[in-house]
Amino acid sequence: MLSVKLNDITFSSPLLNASGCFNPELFNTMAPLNESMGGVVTKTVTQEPRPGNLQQRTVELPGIGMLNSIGLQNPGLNYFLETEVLMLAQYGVKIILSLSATSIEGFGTMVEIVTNHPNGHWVDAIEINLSCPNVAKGGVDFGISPGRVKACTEATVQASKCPVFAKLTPNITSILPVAEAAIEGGASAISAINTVVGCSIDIKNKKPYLNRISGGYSGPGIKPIALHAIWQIHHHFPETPIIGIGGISSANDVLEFMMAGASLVQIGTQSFRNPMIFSKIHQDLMAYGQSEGLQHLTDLTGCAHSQKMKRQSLIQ
Amino acid sequence: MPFSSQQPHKKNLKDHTCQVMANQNVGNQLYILTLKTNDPDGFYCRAGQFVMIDMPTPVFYFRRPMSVLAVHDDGRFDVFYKVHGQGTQIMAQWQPGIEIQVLGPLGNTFTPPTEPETALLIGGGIGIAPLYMLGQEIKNRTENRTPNCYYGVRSHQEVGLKDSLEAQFGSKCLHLSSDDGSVGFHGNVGDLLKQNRERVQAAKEAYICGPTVMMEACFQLLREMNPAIRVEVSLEERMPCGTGACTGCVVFRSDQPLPSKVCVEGPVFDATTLIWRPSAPLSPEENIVCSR
Ligand SMILES: Cc1cc2nc3c(=O)[nH]c(=O)nc-3n(C[C@H](O)[C@H](O)[C@H](O)COP(=O)(O)O)c2cc1C
Ligand code: FES
Repeated sequence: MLSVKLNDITFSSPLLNASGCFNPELFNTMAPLNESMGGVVTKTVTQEPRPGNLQQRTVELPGIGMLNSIGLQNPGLNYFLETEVLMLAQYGVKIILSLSATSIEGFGTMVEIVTNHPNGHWVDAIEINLSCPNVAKGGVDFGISPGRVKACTEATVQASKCPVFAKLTPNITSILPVAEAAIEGGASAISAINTVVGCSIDIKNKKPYLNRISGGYSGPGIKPIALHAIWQIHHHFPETPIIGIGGISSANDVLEFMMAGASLVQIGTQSFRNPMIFSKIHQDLMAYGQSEGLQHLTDLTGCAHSQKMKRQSLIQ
Repeated sequence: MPFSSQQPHKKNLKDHTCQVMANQNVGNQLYILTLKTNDPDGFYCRAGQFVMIDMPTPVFYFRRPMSVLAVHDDGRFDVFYKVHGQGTQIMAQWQPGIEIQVLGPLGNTFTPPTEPETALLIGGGIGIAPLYMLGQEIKNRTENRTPNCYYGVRSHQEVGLKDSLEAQFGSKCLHLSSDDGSVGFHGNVGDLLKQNRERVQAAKEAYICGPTVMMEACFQLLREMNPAIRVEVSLEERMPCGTGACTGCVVFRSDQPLPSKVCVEGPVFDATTLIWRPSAPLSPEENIVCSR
């Protein structure tokens, strides 16, 4: 009842972790976590290892979530292909490789390395993290320019043997032009949203908490922002599957995301507090589906877009 | 030879449903929280390991990392905490009987000393908790051979565990210092160590836990007095997850290419490899930094 088919991939559950928010070693220690997850999204991998930012990297925002400026710390693509992917493969979950590069060509180069590596076939899908700085453009995120989103997506799709998901940033006036660009670039699905840029000041020490001053805001407080983005994308591009991300804490939240247009969801910040959240939500979704007599949970995808609402939205 | 960091006891990691048995105020803003797990297998951990304590509210908070002070046979265990923020303020209100979720045990453990009697356990403030447990472990393993414990506090109001520590280490092996001189030696724990030069020079191993500045200062001091001494420190970092998921709790080490997660590779580290005050670690082409 909970399985989701996206392109040629069948996910046993609509629940995935959000990139950078999961340690797959928990599959060992907190079994049977993998049974409730349809797949694992890796921490964003860059071509070379990255040490990330100095402390302080995170701030708790009680009630609403957190800020982070991890700085994409990761051991690099080679380590992923030689070691990490084999570790993930033993758990029988779909593997979604989150990638990021500092140039448009960089995306293509990385995907070629994956495609040509003997362990590359374990990767079921690629999610490109477009909320990362484009060195050639002075560090402005790729994700805010439709042209560059299209180019990055195209470069990835051309080199890839598996479906490509484009993960969009909400830090833009309207998400529609970049969503359209990703679709034109050949993305099989859209992941939305990444973190919302934010800042928090330590009044005792009269300075920002984060070493990098601002960082990515995530958790319950960004849920309405994410739902708005997903609603808009589904409304304008109803054929494109959406992976909904942002502030999900419960089965009811998952249902909201699905009704707004998502087919799959990712959970990040809330799983820091409760690593077993995937199992809990899985159970609750099963119970909901049974009580509603649903055959497939995905029958709900986009159901909140009633005709009346669609018209209203067009008038705006 | 550096200490080998021991593998965490991962197999018994659980999200325990626990009952608050007691929440005793033992000094200025200091509390001992006694929890009892519902798990029939009980709760087991080793010195140095910690738990992540959930706030029993739907309001979003991170769990709070807490070192384990003591483990009892019947599924009860204690943590020692100081009220210094929103989370610990909430904890101080907890009454016996309420249920909370506790994830653990997490992290690695201290390496047992090769010479228990000369070993130095050096604690500052609430950093004494894992050392209290280490003292117990050493005694259990060695038929009551007792290491020396040096414990620095600000004033007599902050000793908190004095009676338990005396019972653990005996008055001969427990050495107190206070910044204001209201209890024990007048000065900080580093000054106290300087007074005990002979013991420092005779020691093969030392274990430090406390505020970072105190740990760094004590480590430097020990090294000056006894260059061959092996030192393990137990670090405190902000921990959003405690399980290695967020990469938020890192520390930089000279023998590692990338920063280490304190919650899984620590919290106990060989002090010689730590970079106490790292500077920007970025490679030249990447002075543009991604905030995520
Ligand atoms: C600590 C942390 C690290 C993250 N790292 C990444 C990352 O490496 N790549 C990425 O695409 N998103 C990253 N994100 C963003 C999440 O994947 C997700 O889009 C965002 O947190 C919103 O979901 P949530 O509210 O459920 O956490 C990170 C978020 C957090 C909190
Ligand atoms: S607290 Fe999240 S990785 Fe250590």
